[in-house]
Amino acid sequence: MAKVRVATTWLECCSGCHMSILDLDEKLVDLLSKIEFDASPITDIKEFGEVDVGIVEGSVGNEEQLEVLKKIREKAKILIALGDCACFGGIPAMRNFFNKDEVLKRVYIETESTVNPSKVIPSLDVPKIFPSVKSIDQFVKVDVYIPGCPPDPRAIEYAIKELLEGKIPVLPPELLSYE
Amino acid sequence: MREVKLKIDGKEVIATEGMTILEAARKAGFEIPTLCYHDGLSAHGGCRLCVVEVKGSPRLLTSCTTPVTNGMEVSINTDRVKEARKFVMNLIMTERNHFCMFCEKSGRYEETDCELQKRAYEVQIEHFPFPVYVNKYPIDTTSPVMVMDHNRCILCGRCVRVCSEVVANSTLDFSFRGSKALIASDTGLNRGESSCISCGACMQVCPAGALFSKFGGYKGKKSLCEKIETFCPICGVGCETTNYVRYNNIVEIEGSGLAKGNLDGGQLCEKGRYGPLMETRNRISLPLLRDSRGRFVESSYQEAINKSIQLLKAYSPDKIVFRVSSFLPAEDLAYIKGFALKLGVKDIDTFDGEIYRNLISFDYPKANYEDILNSDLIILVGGDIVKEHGVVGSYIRRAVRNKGAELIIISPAESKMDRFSKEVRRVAEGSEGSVVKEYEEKIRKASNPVIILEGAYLLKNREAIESWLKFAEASKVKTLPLPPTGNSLAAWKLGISSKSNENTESGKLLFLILGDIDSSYSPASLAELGFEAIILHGAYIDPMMKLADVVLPGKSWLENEGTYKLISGEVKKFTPILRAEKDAKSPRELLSELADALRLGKIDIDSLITSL
Repeated sequence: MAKVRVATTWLECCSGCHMSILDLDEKLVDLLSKIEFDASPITDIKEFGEVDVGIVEGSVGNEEQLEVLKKIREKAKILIALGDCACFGGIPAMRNFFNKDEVLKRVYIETESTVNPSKVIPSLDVPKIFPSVKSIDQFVKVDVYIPGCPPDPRAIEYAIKELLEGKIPVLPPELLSYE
Repeated sequence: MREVKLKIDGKEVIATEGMTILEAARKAGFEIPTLCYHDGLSAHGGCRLCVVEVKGSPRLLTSCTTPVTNGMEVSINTDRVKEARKFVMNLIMTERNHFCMFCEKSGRYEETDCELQKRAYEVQIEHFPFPVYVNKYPIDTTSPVMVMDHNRCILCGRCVRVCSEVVANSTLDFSFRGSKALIASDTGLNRGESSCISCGACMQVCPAGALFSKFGGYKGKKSLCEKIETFCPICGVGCETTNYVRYNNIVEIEGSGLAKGNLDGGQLCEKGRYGPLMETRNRISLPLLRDSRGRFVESSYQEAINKSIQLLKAYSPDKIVFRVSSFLPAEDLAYIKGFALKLGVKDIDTFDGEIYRNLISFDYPKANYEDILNSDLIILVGGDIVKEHGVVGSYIRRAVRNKGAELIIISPAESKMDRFSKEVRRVAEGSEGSVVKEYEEKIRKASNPVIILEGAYLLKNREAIESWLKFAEASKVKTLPLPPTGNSLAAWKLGISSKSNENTESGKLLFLILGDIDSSYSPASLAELGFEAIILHGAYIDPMMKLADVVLPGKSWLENEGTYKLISGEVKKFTPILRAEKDAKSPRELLSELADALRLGKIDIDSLITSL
C-alpha cells in the first residue's frame, strides 16, 4: 500500500503545534511506516506536492499567509487545522481588539526592547498585514479541527489514526483543549 | 405535595408537583447540561443549554423552568436536542471574547475552572462556525477584590441573582440591551465606586472568566489545589468555607453552602473571603530575645523558652498578668486558663473582657438570626455591620427587602447599610445611648422588634449600651450584641474574661498572647502600665514588641486546629488550612512546654471544652 502523503505548514503562530507533532515521540516512528512527509518545516521541502493530508498551524494575518494557505488547500485532499490559532485565531487574534495601526506602532516603535530612532514601520518587502487576524476556516474549507495550545499529542495521534482508517475524526471532550 | 409521574428517556420517574424537569431528572440520576442555572438561585432560563424535547410540544423546552406534569414524556438526549445545544454554545462562544487561551480560568477538560469552557468541551466545539464578534467591552478593575471583564461575560445573570437573592444587596443588574448589554453596578458606576460590599458571591458563581479574584487570579487552577472544607472563625458567624490551597498558600476561599440550603445561602463577607489573602502584616518567624544592650537578637526556640521560664519564676504569681486574645480556639483559651490557675496567677483577661462584663449584668432576651429575618423593626446601633459581620447584614437586608421590615440605624459613621434604612440617625461616638428614649415608643409598638448592637468600640462603652440594654430588659425586646471576635463567646463562657482589671497596676510581668490580633485591641494602653518584663506570643509583628523581652512566634488561626463557639450558639471544630512553620506554636503547645518545665502537672481541658 502506498504511503499517505502529508504536507504541513505554519502561518501566524509560534510553531508549538509542530513541536506537539514531534512530541508524538516513538509513536511518530510507527506512524512513519504509514505516512510520508512532503513539504513541511520538518522536512524543509518548500513547495507543496499533491498530498492526501495537509496540516496547517497558525492563523491568517497577512497576504503571504493567505497565499500559502490557499496553496496547501489546493494540493491537499483533507485539510487539518492544527491548534487554537488555526481553529479559532488564537493568541495572534488578541490584536483584533486593537486598531491595526496601534498594533504596528506598539510593535515597531514603542516596545521596550525596540531601537528604532527613525520610527520606521516596515512596509516594503514585507507581506501586507490584514486589519484583523482570522482562523483559517474563514478563508478555505477545513475538514478536521484539532484545537489546543498546543494540541495534546494524543489528540494528533487520535486524529491521524482515524484518518488512516478512512474516518473523519471528531475529538472527544478529553482530547479537546482550548488552552 | 402531590406526586407527579413522568417518563424521562423512557424511564418512569416520580417527582413532586412544582418541581421542574431539571430537578426531577437530576433527582432521578439523569444529567442535563446547564449554564445559567445554579442550585442555590432561582431559575432564569436564559442560556437555553438545558433544552429538552417534550412529547406534544413542537418547541424544545428549557428544563430549568418547565414544571413537570403528569404523564409528561421527556427526552433529554435526542439528536435534535444535542444539535440545539451545540448551536446555542456556538452562539454564546462567538458573541464576545471567548478565546480561552488567554483567560484566567481556562484549563483542560478535567481541570478547568470555567463552566462555559467545560460545556463547550462537552458539546465538542472545535472551531467557531460563526464569525467572531470582536467588539471591545470595558474591563472594570476598580473593585478592591475582583476584576470584572465584560468581554468574557455571557450575561447568564447568576451574579445579578446572587447579589439580589442571597446577599440582598442588589448592586448588580443588567443594563442596555442586545449586543450592548452589560452587567452594571448600581446605575452604571464602576464597581469600586458603587454600593458593592465586596462579598465576592458574584465572583464565586460566575461560570465564565468574567469575574475573578485579584488575589487568586493566575495562581493556579482549583483542580491543582488541595481542597479543605471547614468554616471561617473570624467574626463568630462561622460561615462554611471551601479553601483551595497550593504549596501552603491560599489560592481561593469559597462559601460552601450555596447549594446546600443553608440560612446564609453560602455567602461570605469581604473579611471571610478575602481577609486572609489581603493580610499585609509580617509574621513573627523567629524567637527573639532582648540582649544586655537592649537590642533584639534572634535566638533558638529553646533559649526563648528558657528565658520565659526564668521570668515566670522570677516574679510572684500576684505580680504576673495574662492578657489574651479571644480569637483563639477554645482549647488554647482553656489551656491558658488552666496554666494561669496552676501557676497561681489571678489577673487574667481577654482584650474584649470589658464587653463581657458590660453585657453580663443585663437579662435581655437574646435574638437569633431567624428573629432578624422575621422582624418588622430592626434597630441597628453602632458600627459598620457590613464590614464586621457582613453575613448578619444580609439578614437585615433580606428582612427589609423581602418582608418590608423597617430599619433604623443609629451610628456615628456612614456605612453601606445606610441606603436600606429610612431613618439614619447620626450620633457622636459614645452617645448612642442618649437617643433610646426617642425610639422606645416605636419599638414597643412593633410586633417583632430586634435590636442589634454592633462594634467592639460600642460594646466596650458601658455608657453607650447601658440604656439600650436596660430598655431591652424592661420591655423584653430581643437583642443581639455581636461579639467582636470569632471566639469571644467561648472565652466568656470559659470565664477568662471574668476577672476585673483593677489590680493590673501592681503587675510586673505581662504575658501577652496575641494570636492573630493586634495589641491595639487591648482596652487600656498596655504600654503605659509600666511592666518590668513582657513575654509576647503572637503570629504577627506587633507594636508591643518594642517593649517585649521575649518574643515567641505563634500560629495564625489558619494553622491552628480547635473549637469555636459561634454567635448562633453552635460549637464547631475548625480544620487548619495551612501548615505552620516549625517554631510557630499554638498557645497550648507553648504553655504545655512551659508547664512541664515549671512542673505544674497535667492541665486538663477536655471537660471545659465539652461544657461549651
